[in-house]
Amino acid sequence: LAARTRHAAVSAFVDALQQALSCVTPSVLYHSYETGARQALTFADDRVRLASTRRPREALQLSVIHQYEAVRQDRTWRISSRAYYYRVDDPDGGERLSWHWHPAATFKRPHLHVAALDRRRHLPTGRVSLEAVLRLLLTEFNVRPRRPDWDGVLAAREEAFERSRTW
Amino acid sequence: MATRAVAEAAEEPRPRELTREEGQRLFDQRARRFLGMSGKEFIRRYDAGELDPDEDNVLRVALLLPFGR
Repeated sequence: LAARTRHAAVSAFVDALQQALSCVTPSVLYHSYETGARQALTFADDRVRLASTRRPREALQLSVIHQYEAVRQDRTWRISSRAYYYRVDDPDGGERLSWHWHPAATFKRPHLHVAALDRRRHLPTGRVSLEAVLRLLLTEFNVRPRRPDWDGVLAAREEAFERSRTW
Repeated sequence: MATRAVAEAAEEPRPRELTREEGQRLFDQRARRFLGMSGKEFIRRYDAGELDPDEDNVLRVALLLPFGR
């Protein structure tokens, strides 16, 4: 998503992620003060409980941290992601699945941790969008959608992700 | 119809940009929750290479550094 100003690019990016997350939670995303350097976003309270289509006590929890940076390209600004941490916890808080990409650590490529296998293993993945994680939760993990148009919202965002990714 | 559309729009969560001070408070809370240290101590020890960036709790605080600096 290209924008005319740095601020517009950041706003469009954060708004889009918030809209995608609104498919599963009303929780607000907090993003860091715009400094011109790397920024981050997360939920106010680290993780949010997701309503279950089954019993309330089966509600999974979701943590989201995303690092990004506004970069100038020709005469426009666009957002470049720098790292992500998407984690799904069981109702009791134990980790179930985590999608990571954090080039500052030893394992620098995008990967998945599966607690039921061996949490220490880094299972290689391609770059995973938050929208893909949300779709997985909605279609295969009994998370109750918060809005009726969730499929269209996520599809539009996934298409934008595929269009704008550079790797 | 228009009234319902306005009502639905009003229910949509809106992201919030934190001030520098609010961001530092959030960072400090996360460092205390996951590692039992203040945000300032985390930054000092992380920059000194004293914390293992592969440890999950270190990672989930380190990724929030843009709030804390």
